[in-house]
Amino acid sequence: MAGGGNDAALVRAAQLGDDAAFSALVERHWRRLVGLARSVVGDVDAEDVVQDTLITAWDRLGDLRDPAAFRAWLTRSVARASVRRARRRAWLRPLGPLDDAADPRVEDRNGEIQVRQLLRRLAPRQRVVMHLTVVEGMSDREIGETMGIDAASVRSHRRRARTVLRRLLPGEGG
Amino acid sequence: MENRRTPEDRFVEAFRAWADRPPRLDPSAAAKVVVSRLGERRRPPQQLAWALATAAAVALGVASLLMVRTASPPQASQQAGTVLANPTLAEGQVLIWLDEHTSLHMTYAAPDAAAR
Repeated sequence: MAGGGNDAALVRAAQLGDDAAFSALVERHWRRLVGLARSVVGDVDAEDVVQDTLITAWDRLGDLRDPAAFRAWLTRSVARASVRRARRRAWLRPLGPLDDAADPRVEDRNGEIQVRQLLRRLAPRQRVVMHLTVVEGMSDREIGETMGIDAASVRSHRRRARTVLRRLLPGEGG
Repeated sequence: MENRRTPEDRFVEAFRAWADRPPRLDPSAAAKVVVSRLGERRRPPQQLAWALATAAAVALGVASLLMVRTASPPQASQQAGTVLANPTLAEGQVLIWLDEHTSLHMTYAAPDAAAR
């Protein structure tokens, strides 16, 4: 996994209660984590989810035995929190059944793909896998470690996500 | 070249651009917000402070009530001859309730003081 190379020293300091070190970690990971949360829960909830997860992370920082694993640990926490939030939202505001035909809303008037509309059609865990694959460029093994599942399950989530996307994307054979 | 892109390629490209949008809060502002939330959690909430103050006041009231009751005449069920403390007695005085109607006051003094 790229980045986060110097997290360990900051994590050790934060584990001793150093606010400034934790603040530096937040600054370092904020944008990436919001990107992940946004792919799963959308723009409105993403920053709340990440903030709440960071507060919880501060409480549980003492449980993290390997400070070098902070990035993966935090990513997993945000992914899980986002999936939980997305499931709760889906339960409150369920989408209609999946439409086999291309959804007219997935492209705007200029022919630009409406990413959020497409992501909403995926299961929350599929959104996580697609984000980590497409945006972060992680391998199946890395995604599996991040999500706490094996690489075969990662491939299965991605395959199902792509099947849904092919149905919905304009111009795909279906 | 544009025409050769598959819809999935277009999706991947759009997804990356969409995910790359800056967050509403920039990283340093977000760090400040998170650290200030940590600080807020360390302070006891105002409701908790009020609950603690109320509990302390109630405990003080109950303790005062118990002290007053202890100093009052014993009920019939209490054994005669019980020695009781009374905060209003002068130094060297002892008040013993023999029963609920009869009290016995005693004053202790040094022998030379009694002879005078």
